Amino acid sequence: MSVHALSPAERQVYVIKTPTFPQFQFEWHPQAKRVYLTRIGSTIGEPIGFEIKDHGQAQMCVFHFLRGYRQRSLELENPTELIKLI
Amino acid sequence: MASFVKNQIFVENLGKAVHNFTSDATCSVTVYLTTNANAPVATNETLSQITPIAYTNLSSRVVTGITWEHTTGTAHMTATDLVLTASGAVATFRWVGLYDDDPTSPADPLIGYYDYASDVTLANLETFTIDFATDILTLA
Repeated sequence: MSVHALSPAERQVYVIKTPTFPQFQFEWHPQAKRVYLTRIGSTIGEPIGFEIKDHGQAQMCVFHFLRGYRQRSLELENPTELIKLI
Repeated sequence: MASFVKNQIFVENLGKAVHNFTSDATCSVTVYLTTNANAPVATNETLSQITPIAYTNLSSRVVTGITWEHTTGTAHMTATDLVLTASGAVATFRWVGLYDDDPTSPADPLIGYYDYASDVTLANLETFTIDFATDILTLA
């Protein structure tokens, strides 16, 4: 008898799901140690993280990208806040 | 690399009918999270041996969509991906484990765990998806 579970390590490409940002798809490529972003409607992935060695780092890379994206979106929605900063 | 490790006791518990993975109605497979300092080990048997993080600001950790069916002699345990949502800052964690909250003897038996290999920290409104892929585990 054997009990076997598929782990992210056993998949060549691991998709990091972000249900609140359906316009983005993130993939961690363990062998290339990169995280790629593919925008909806595009077939080309943009590397956004390099030397990403493990699943936790890949997850945090995605979080950091989305934190910047959210911050920029808020600034664009509230330009007066931007003016105050300038 | 995040790799799944089964708790050794899990195979014994299967044979002693501790678990019933027929559906969500017969089990409550639940996720626990720990820091690296409190990493689980394969010889852990029940949740009482685990030191989890504080779950403040974290959404439900109960896994849904549980099925346990065989295909040509191999049993597959499947579930719907679990999306954890932060409603504020959540304590840092690295290890993600599974236990069954339903059994009472032994109480809260462990199933297995994943090591994300680095710390993960959720800020307010962020989501962390535990992707169970095709199967949580298979039994052949």
